[in-house]
Amino acid sequence: MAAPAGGIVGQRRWYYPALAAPGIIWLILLFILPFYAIAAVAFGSRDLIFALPIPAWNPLEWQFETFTATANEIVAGGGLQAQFLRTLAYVTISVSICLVVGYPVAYYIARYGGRLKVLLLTLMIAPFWMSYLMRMLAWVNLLSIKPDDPGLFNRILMALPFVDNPIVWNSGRVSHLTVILGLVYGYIPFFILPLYAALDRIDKSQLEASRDMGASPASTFWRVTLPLSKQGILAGAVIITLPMFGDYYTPNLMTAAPGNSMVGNAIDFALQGGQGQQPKGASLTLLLSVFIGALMIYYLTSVARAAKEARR
Amino acid sequence: MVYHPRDPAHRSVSRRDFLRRSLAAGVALPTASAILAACSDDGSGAPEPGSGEEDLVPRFGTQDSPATLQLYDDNPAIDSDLEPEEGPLVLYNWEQYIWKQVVREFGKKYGVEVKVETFYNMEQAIQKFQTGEVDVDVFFPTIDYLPKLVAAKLIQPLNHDYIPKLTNVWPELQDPYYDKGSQYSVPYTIYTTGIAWRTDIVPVEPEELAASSNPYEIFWNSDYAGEVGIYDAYREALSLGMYRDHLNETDLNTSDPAVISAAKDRLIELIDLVDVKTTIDGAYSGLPEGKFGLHQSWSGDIQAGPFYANDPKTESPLFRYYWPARDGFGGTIDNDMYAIPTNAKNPVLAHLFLNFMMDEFNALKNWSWVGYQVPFSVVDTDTIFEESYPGLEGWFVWDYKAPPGQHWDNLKPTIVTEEDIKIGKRAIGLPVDVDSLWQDAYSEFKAGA
Repeated sequence: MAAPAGGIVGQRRWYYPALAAPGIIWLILLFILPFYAIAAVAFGSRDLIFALPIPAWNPLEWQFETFTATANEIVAGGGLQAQFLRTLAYVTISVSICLVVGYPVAYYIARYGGRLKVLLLTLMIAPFWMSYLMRMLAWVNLLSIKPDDPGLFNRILMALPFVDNPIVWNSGRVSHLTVILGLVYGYIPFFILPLYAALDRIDKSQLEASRDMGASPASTFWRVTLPLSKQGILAGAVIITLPMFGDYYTPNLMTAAPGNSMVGNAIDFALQGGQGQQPKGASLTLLLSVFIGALMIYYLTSVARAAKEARR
Repeated sequence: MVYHPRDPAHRSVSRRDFLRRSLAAGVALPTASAILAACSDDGSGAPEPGSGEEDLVPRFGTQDSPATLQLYDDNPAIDSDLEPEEGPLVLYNWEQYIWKQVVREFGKKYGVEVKVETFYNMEQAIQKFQTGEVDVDVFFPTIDYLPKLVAAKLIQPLNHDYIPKLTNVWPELQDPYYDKGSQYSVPYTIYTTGIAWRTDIVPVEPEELAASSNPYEIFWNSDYAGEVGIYDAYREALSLGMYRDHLNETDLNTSDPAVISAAKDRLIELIDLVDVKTTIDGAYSGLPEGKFGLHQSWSGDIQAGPFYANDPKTESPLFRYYWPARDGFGGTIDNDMYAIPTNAKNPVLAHLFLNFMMDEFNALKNWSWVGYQVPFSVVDTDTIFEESYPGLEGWFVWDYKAPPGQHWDNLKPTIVTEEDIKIGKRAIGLPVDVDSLWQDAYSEFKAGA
C-alpha cells in the first residue's frame, strides 16, 4: 500500500516551527498577556468606592480619555514632561559613560585577556552577584555625610589637594551626577558582556590584513575594529537602555529628591502611591513603551543593515 | 488634570442609577463587586426615607459631623456566647506593625495557631480582599478606608459582648467620630504628625518654635538645605504646605483646587530652597542615623529614634519633636484600627483577639516593640516615663540605653494625650474626584518640575 502522499514531508514541515513553540508560549504568557492587561487598565475605568481600576478587557469598550490626557500632559509641559526629559538625559549620559568606560574594558579582555579571559570576566562580574539593592545601599553609605563623618568617598576625595570640603552627593546639582553614577554602576556589566562577545568574535586575520595594508593601529581600530563591534555596542546599549528607562529605585535610593525623579518614579507613584491612579500609571507605561519601541526599531534596522552588509 | 471633578466622565450618578447598575450587574442583593460595578461611573446621595433602598454610599464622618456607619441585614454581627473556632487565626497587617511575641501569647492562651500576613498598602490589601486572594480574620484598615469597607460590606459589625476591655481605651475613641459606637472598628494605635529634628544639625529648641509666628516655616529655612525631609505620602506632604499658609485654619479635607495647588507650589518651593527629600523611613531611621537634620514626623517614628541611632547614648538626647497644634498652630492627629472581614473564617476568635489587644498589658507591650502608642486611659505622659507599666519596666524606647534612673525625657512630646484628640485635625477619606486633585498635585511636586 502506498504511503499517504506528503506524510513524511508534512511531519517535517511542522518539525522545525514546533521548536519555536516554547518561545512563543513564553512570549504570550509573559509579554503579550501582561501587556494586554496594562492596556486594559489604561483604557478602563475606576470604581468610585475604592477608586480601584476596572480593566476593560473588550477593546470595543476601551476609553482613551486617561491615555490622551496623560499624553497631552507630557506634551504640554509641567511635571511629567520634566520627568521624561530628565530620564532621557540621565539615560543618554549614562549609556555614553558606559560606552567610554566599558569599551576599553571589553576590548582589553577580548584582545589581551589571553588565558585570563575567564578570570577577568568573572572578576568583573563578581560584585554583581550581590543584589542590586544591596549595591545601591552600599553606595548610599559610601556617599552619605553624617554630622561627624563626611563619608568614606569624601574622605578619599579630601585627601586630594583640590578638594577642601566634603561634597554633599544627594543635594543640589551634584545629585544628578549621583543618580547617573548609580545607573552606570548598576548596569555597566550588562553593557560590557555583549560588547566583549562581539569583540571576541572579530577575526584577527581582518585586523592583520588591515595592518599588512599599511594601516596604523589607530586607523585599524577606527576603520575595522569599531565598525565590526557596532552590533555589540548596539546590543549592549539596548540591553541597558530598556531597564534604565523604567528605573525608579536608583533615584529613590541615591537621593530621594523630587528633582531627580524619573519616569519610572511617576509610574511607581501612580501604581502604588495613591487611590485611582492606576489607569494613569498604565497609560504612562504604554507611552514609555511606544518611545522605547521607536528606539528598538532603530536598533533592529541597524542590525538588519549590518547583516546585509556582512553578506555582501 | 486627568480626573478633574468637572470631567463629565466622573460626575455623580443618582442614587437610583447606582442601584439600577447594581442590579444590572446581576446581583439581587448587592455584593461588593456589584457595588463596585455600580460605582464604575460614580455614585452619591442618600436613600430616600422609606424607599426600602440600601444605603451603599460611604459615610465619611468628621469631627463636626460624626458618622454612624450603616448596618445591613445581610451583614450581621455574630451572635453572643459562641465557642471560638479552632483557627488558625490570620491577621492581615502592615509589615512590622505588630509584635509577633504578643501574637504568639494570644495563640498560647487560646490554643490556636496565629498567622500574620502583610500588605504593602491599602489598595493592594483591598484588591486582594475582592479577588479572594487572602482569607483573613483580622484586618488593620485606615480611617479613610473604613466607611468604604463598610459600604462594600467587606467588614462585619462587631459584637461588643466579646470585647469588654474596649473600656480601657480613651472614652473619645470608644465612640469615635468616624464610627459612632465603634460598630465596625476598635482603635489600634494613635499618633500625631509634627516636626522632628536633631539639635546637632538644627540647633533649635521646641520653645523657640512655640514662640515663633509659624513653626512650619522651619521646613522652608534655607540654612538647613540638604537636611530636610518630608513624608512620601500625598496627604501628609500637601497638608504640610497647607499648614505653612493657613496654620490652624487649615482644612485637611479641602476640595478647593486653589488651596491644593497653593500647597503644591509651597512644596515645589522646598525643592529649590532646601533640596527636600521625600521618604517613608527618613523620620524613624534617617534622622536618627544623621542622614537628615529635620523631618516631618509621625510621633511614633521619632519615638523609635534611640533604637536607630548610631550611638544611642550620645545621640538620643539630641532628638526633638514638636507638634504645633499644642500651641494653637494646627496639626494632624490620626489613629489606626482593627476590623474583622465579612468572610472571616474565625470571627469569634477574631473578636477574642481584639479583646486580648484591648488588655492594657498586652497593648502596652505591643507598643514597646511597634513604637506606636495605644490610646489607653492608663497612659499618662509623666507616669509612663517615670514608672512605666508593671511588668514592662525598661521596655520602652525612652529607657533604651539611658543612664540608670534616667529616661530620654526629650521624647515626652511624642506621647499623645486624650486632650490632643480634641485639638488635632483629622484627614478623612475623600471622594474619588477630590482625591484625584490631591494626587495630581502631589505628582506634580514629585516630578521635581
